[in-house]
This record gives sequence, C-alpha cells and structure tokens, in this order.
Amino acid sequence: MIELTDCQLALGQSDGQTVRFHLANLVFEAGEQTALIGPSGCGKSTLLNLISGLLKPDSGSVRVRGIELTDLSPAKLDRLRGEHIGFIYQSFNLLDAFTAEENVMIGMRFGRTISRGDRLKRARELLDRVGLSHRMAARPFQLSVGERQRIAIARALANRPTILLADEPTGALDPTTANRVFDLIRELCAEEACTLAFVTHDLALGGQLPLQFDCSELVKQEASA
Amino acid sequence: MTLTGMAWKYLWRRPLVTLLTVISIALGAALISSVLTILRETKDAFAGANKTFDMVVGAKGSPLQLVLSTMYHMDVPTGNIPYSRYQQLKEDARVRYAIPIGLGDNYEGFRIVGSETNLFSAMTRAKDDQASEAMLAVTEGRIFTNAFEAVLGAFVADQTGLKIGDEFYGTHGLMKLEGSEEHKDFPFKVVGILKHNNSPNDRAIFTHLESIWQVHDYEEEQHNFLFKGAPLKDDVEEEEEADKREVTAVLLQLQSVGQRIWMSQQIQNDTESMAAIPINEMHRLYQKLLAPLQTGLLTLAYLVVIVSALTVLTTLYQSAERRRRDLAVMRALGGLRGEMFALLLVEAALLTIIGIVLGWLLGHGAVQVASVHYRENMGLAIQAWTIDRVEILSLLSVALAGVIAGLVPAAIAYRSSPVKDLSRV
Repeated sequence: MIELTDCQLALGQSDGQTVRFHLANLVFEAGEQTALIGPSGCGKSTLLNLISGLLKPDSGSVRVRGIELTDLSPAKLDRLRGEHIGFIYQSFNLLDAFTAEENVMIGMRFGRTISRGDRLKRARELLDRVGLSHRMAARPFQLSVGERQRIAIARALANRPTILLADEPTGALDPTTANRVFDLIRELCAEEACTLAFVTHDLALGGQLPLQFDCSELVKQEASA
Repeated sequence: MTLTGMAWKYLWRRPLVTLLTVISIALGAALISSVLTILRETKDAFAGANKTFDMVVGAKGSPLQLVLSTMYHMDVPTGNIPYSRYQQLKEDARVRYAIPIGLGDNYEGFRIVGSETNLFSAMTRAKDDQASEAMLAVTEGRIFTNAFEAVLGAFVADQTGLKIGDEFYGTHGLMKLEGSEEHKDFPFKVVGILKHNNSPNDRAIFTHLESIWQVHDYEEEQHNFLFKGAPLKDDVEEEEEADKREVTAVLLQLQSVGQRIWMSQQIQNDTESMAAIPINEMHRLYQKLLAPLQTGLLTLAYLVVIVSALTVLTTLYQSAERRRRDLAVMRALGGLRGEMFALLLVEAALLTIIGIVLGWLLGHGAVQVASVHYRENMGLAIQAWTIDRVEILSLLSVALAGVIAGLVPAAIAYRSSPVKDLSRV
C-alpha cells in the first residue's frame, strides 16, 4: 500500500553539520492503523510529507498504491494527493474565510473524487457523523478547538481517501477531547477503510493503535562532506 | 465551490480594503468613460447641428464666431452685411438655398432669430435613402407668415410657458441683462411651437426678418430724434432706408458640396463679406480646444488607473502573503499550482470588473447630469448612456492593467511551498 525504501533527504544545516533524514524501510499495509511515535523534531512530519508527495526524497523510493511518487510530475502528485490522501493537522488548518460546511466542500473541490452534485450531501453527512450538523454555518473562529478538529477530520475524509495522515491531531486538545478525537479518527478510518498513519508523541495514545513505529532515529546530524 | 466563489469570499473577508480598491478603480474608469463620452457626444452634437448648411456668409471677423452665432445661437455675431448681398447669393446658380439671418434681440435670454419662411423648407435631414424629414417642424400652430409672428423652439416653449396666441416683448441684445429695455411698441404673437429636435434651434425664437428690421429701424429713429434732434422719417425716406437694410448672416446650401472651398475663397477675395464653412470651423474648434482637453483629461485618467492597478497589486500581494497558510492547505488538499495562480488572478479580475462596471455607471451618470446643462445652455442633446469602440477598448485596457497587477500575487501563490508555509504555523 505505502512503501518507503532507503529514503534520504537533506533537511538543512545545524552547527556546521548537515541534518539528514534517513529511512531504511517502512511499509504500511492497506487498512492498517499505525502510530508514528517519537519526540519533536525526530522527522515524523517529514515522513508524512514524503508519503503525501509534498516532499521529494533526494534518493530512495516512495511508492503509494504501487505508484512511484518520485517519478510523478508536480501536477500528478497534487492530483494523487487530492484523490487518495487526507490530512489532519495539529493546528487544524481550517480556512477562516469559509464556514464549516464550505471547508469540507473545498476539500472535495480540490480532491475531484466526489461529483459536484454530491458534494453538499457528502459534506452534510460527514458533519453529521462528527456531531456538528448544528454548526455547519459557523466559521472556524466561532468554534471550540475540539469542534475545529472534528471539522478538519470531516474535511480530510471528504474525498474518501485510502490514506489518512494525521500529524499530532490531538496535540492542541485537552486530554478528554483528545481521547474523543482519537477515537473518532479510528472509527471513521475503519468505516471508510482508510490506512491511518497517526503521528503522536503521546506514548499512551500511540500505544492504543495496533502498530507502532518509532521515528526517533530517522533524523541525524552528519558531518558535511 | 468554484474558484470565483472562493475568490469572492476572500475579497469580502476584508470589505473595507476591497471597497477602497474597487472605488479607486471605479474613479479611474469613471473619469475615462465620462471624458470620452462627453467629448464624443459634444463633437457629434455639434456635427449633427451643422450638416444642413454648407456655408455661412457674414461680416468679416472670426469665422468660428460667425458659425457659432448663426448656427448654434452662441457667441456674438461678427457684424452685419447688406441685404443686397443676400439677394445676390440667392440668385447665384451654385446656391440651392440662401437663408438670411437677422439677430439683435432676445426674450428671457432666448435669441430672436429673424429669417424667411424658406428656413423651414431648407432645414431637412435625411431620414433614409428615399426620404427626408423636416428639422424645424411645428408640433402646434403654424410657421410665421407676417412680421411679429413668432415660432418658438421646443425648449423655449417649455421654459417660458408661452402658448399659441400669447404675446411677448423682445429685449435688445442677445442675452438677458438686468435693466435691458423691452420693445414695448412691438409685441410678438406666438403662432407656432416647434418639435424637439435636439439641436440649438430648440433654444431659438424664429420670426420674420421684417420684425427685426422694424424694431431696429424704429429704435434708431427714436434714438436720433431724442438725442440728436433728427426729424422723424416720412414714408419716402423709409423706403430709401429699406434699400440700406442689413442681415447678420446668410446660410447657404449649395447645389454641390464640392463648390464649398472655391466659392468661399471667391467670397473672401471679391467682397466685403466673409464665408465660413461650418464643418471646417467645428473641426478646427475640436482640434484646437477639445482634442488637447481630451488628451489632458485622458492622461489624468490613465494616471488614476495606474494608481488603481498598483492598489490592486498591493491589496492582493498583502492578501497572498497573509494567506500563505491557506494556499498551502489547499495544495495539501490536492489543489494544483495553476489553481492557486488562477484564484489570485480571479480576485484581481473581480476587483477590476466590479470597479469598471461601477465606474462606467458613475461616469455615464455624471454625463447624464452634465447633459441637462448642455441642453439648457447650448441646446445640444448629449446621449449619456452610449458606448463606442474607443471607450470599450479604453475600459478593456483598465481591465488588462488590473489583471496584470494580479500577476505578481498570483505568481507568489504559484511558487509557494506548502511544506514551508505549513511549518510556519
């Protein structure tokens, strides 16, 4: 489903040394739910960006649904991301100019998998599913953080993606809300048959997923050549 | 949701900035539209009023002044020429119509134009290939047949409230002045009212030339009697006086337009009078006065447009910078670079199009207001809600300037890196 092999990427310079991301091998099977665990700055987000095609490795291979991402043009990468990958962020990244309903519909506008006529119905179904059918017309700044994250979850799943990448989605939430959001993501991923890569530095939360991958060794500083 | 819908939402997220940008574009477009329309319509209105006559013959002086005073009822005449000159021109084989014009009095500021009844038959305009219509047709009553019968232009009738059968007194001079004495011994009787014909003739009162002569002969006689002690004239003297009568000008319609130049030069060289060709004089007026005015005002208008385009650039540049995160999110959702570029460009286009539409309405609304002044003071009919190719091209150039201004922020959106912009948060 997702396969990363010998991926290397220079991330920049620090104290005269090159900061390098290196991943020998990692496979996510279809429908699996995996926690990516490790401290801040260990390369968890970089890993998600490589899977989504937002970053290209300097060397190595990233294959998603059998497609080699490093061979794709930027436009094809954008299309693949829109059709197959959903994103959830720690800071929600909702668009403040638009209502909750419009935020979900914009996800579908760029995803292009849902026909134009079905988008409103799909948005309303998803908002109902995350318990926000009464907040469809609200703008992000009018919502609580928990509500915002639920909107973000609805938007991420709007295109019926096969992969859901969640980058510390509970990091900005209080423990009770974080648990609710975590459960909601797991449930919806199971319902939609999504492969889940869930980044967290919360070991207790990550431990609840069937698979864990320790990211703490992904980023290293090396002497510059 | 379409890109246009998204662009619209983003614009109205900052209503004050959007409104100010739209207003700045609208002002530029309004200035362009109003300048082009008013100058185009002025030119057309002047041209429309001078198509009937090929030449004006009058006393030597400024040819433009002669044309303006006899055909547009503006400015003062250059003087008088002998009536015999009119009779010679009338007999000239090259002349189809010769119409004498006598000026000197006004009523409530509207000029009393002395002429002959052939004025009404001469003033026709082509309706189609086969027919022509009278430009001075009465809507009520009849044309004058005797002295002191008056036919009112439509605007005069509207403004003065005079009706058929009413009487009025002329006042000496070509404009209304406080203290001017009315010719109380010579009442005019309204016998006809003309149809509106959207020309300076709407502002004139037509009467028989004889009326003008009688008023002024009497006035001169009284003046000489009172101040110089001259005796009043008897009938024989009055007949002799008639031979010395004068007209202000003679309007000519020639058998062939091709004879205009040659005939005008001949009149110029061989007589004490002057011949002016209206179409040439109006063209000269346009070239000397209106064309530089148009250039000046359009330069100003385009400067406003350049400032407006820079406002669009600044507004959208700031907007694109502020929205880097939003654009990155859209890219992460699958948005193409081209779509981000298009989103900013659509915003620029929306700002510009709204500004232009608003500006066009504003500019033409201003022309509509100005048209009242034109009608009341010059008798010229200005069509405010018209557009021509030059105006369309000018407004398209404003649109182009707006869209070009949108290219810079659109390029920022195109080149932005989603990973970098998302990690800034």
